[in-house]
Amino acid sequence: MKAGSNLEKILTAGHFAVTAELGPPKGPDVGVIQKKAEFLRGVVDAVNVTDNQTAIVRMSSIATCAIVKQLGLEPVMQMVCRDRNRIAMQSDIFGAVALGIKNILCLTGDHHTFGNQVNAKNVHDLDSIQLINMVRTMREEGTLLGGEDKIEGEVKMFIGGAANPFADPFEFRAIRVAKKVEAGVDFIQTQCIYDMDRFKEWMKMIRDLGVHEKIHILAGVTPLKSAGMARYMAKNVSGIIIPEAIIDRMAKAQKGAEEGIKICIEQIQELREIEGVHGIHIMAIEWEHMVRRIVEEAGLLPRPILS
Amino acid sequence: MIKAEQKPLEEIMKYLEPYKKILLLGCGACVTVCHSGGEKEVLLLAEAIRIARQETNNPIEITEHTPPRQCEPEFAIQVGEFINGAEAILSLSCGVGVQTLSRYFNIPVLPGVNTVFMGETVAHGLWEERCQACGNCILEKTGGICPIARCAKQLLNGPCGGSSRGKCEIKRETDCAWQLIYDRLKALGQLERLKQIIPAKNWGQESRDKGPRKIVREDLQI
Amino acid sequence: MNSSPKIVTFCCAGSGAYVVDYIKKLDQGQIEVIEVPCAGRIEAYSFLEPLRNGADAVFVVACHEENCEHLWGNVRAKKRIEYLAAKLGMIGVVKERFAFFNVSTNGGVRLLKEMTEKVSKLKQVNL
Repeated sequence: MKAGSNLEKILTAGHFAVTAELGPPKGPDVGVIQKKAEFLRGVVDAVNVTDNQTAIVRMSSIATCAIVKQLGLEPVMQMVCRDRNRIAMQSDIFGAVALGIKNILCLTGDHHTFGNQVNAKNVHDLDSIQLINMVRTMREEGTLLGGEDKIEGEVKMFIGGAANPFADPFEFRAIRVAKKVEAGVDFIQTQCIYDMDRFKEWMKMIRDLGVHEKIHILAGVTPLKSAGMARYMAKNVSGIIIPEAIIDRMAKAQKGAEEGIKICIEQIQELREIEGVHGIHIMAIEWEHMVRRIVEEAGLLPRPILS
Repeated sequence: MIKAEQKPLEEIMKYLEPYKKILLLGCGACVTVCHSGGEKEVLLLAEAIRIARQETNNPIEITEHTPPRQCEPEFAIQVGEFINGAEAILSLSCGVGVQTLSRYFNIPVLPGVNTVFMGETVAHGLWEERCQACGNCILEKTGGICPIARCAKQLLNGPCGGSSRGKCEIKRETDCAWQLIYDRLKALGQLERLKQIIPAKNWGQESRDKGPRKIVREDLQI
Repeated sequence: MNSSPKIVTFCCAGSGAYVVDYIKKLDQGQIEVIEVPCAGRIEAYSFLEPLRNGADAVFVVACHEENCEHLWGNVRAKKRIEYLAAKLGMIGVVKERFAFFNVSTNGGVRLLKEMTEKVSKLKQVNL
């Protein structure tokens, strides 16, 4: 075991994993975290805590993860490269391990101009691949980046990364995942999937590279709330593709939200059949109370409890 | 070359409030090429300033001169011949020239342009950022396209998940540098290079993060 | 190792030109002498031409410091030779292949001695 986290144990035992996301509050309001955590209790194997997602200032991922852990759920600490240099990152990783956080998701981060502090100085000391490699160095060599300074204690982290089969250049996306594997990633969560054909094509490239045998891939899904949301995402969010057929379905439905949940569950069932997909990652942003229903109706409850 | 843009006239007029006589200096190098501080721009700006000050009944005397450049001792010293009692110098050179003159003259040297980036003249009237003087050029690895200057996140192992249809997530019009790198390496038959991980950059040893930099050539110092 | 290295020697008109006879007495190598108006007149790249054309070493003979008619020509030449030795050292051109000597118009005896020492060292290294 690399870190012995619940997520790692579930994936290693060969179960189909379920993770979801929890967005921290835009302030110190712990109540928000408690509420969201309750929605996810018993429903997921681990919960991703986002790191100032879309560059909007929220409670730090590490603090939120510590609270989530106190509440009895297993966190996956997301860490973006946008706001911290390698000193702060390694320092936070020490702190995270000390607080009992065992999963880290290494990301580049949305550009800071998307957020609410557009005049900030952009950091990007490392990129996501270099960050993955740095965490692996800390875990396997017991040293800081650079290989010289010995770490006091052990950094046991299960290392995750992100992948986007819907970004460009398409021919290169699977190869970039292979680079993350080389850098030391243990699991990958993908951007939310609507274009199943493209995802299947990407998975074929992944399998051709042998990546699916080296690491675990969790397929990302996001339930749509309305046709408007679908159109907005398709048009404005870089790296998300929503086929016309799905937008149509949402538009024609009597109750958009219901249709969105239905589509999500169908997707999960289809994803379970794809070779190399070892779990799903549900990003129901600001709709966390729906996760239980989705997981249940997709036939994924109860979640296995491993010692 | 260095690219700059003239400061808004309002701001310049504010700088000039305390003065009745100034030396307006253009520069014959970079700012001429990007049309922000060359001889023509000096003529135009001088007229505009005179008109603005006439409107407020507070005339100003302006001597105009455009040396070949301002950032070297010989040229900076020569500028002295044109001061003639000026109370301040308004310099349209990049930040380097302003600072060089500040070392030689005991009157205020005011910047008339904002130095913006090092870039290419893509077309007449269009200049784009190409280099950020990172101190250790990796263009050999990236097919001649710089990810530090042209990727909004300065990724060395891009593209990120926000690269869509060749464009950057931050602006539809902005090319994704890593798409450009991919296309170029493909055209050169060097796609294999993209499989290699480029390690973290030594910002603190190579780049501006090590503090103000300098280059010394002892063989040229007499 | 090369028993008879080919050496091109640049001699400046202010000093080196006066001691060419002594230089030619160097019997451990094949010496070619080139007289130049001032050692500082020769650009760094010109010192490399002989190496490219098969010479084993480039020597420069110039006036003593503070004695250069052109003020700093001798200093410039010395710095150029040092720069070349350092730069080309990185690609395996050993520093013994470059040498710089200050001489006065009547300093032929001492110059010959110094050059002889340098050539001995040159013969010992692998070029």
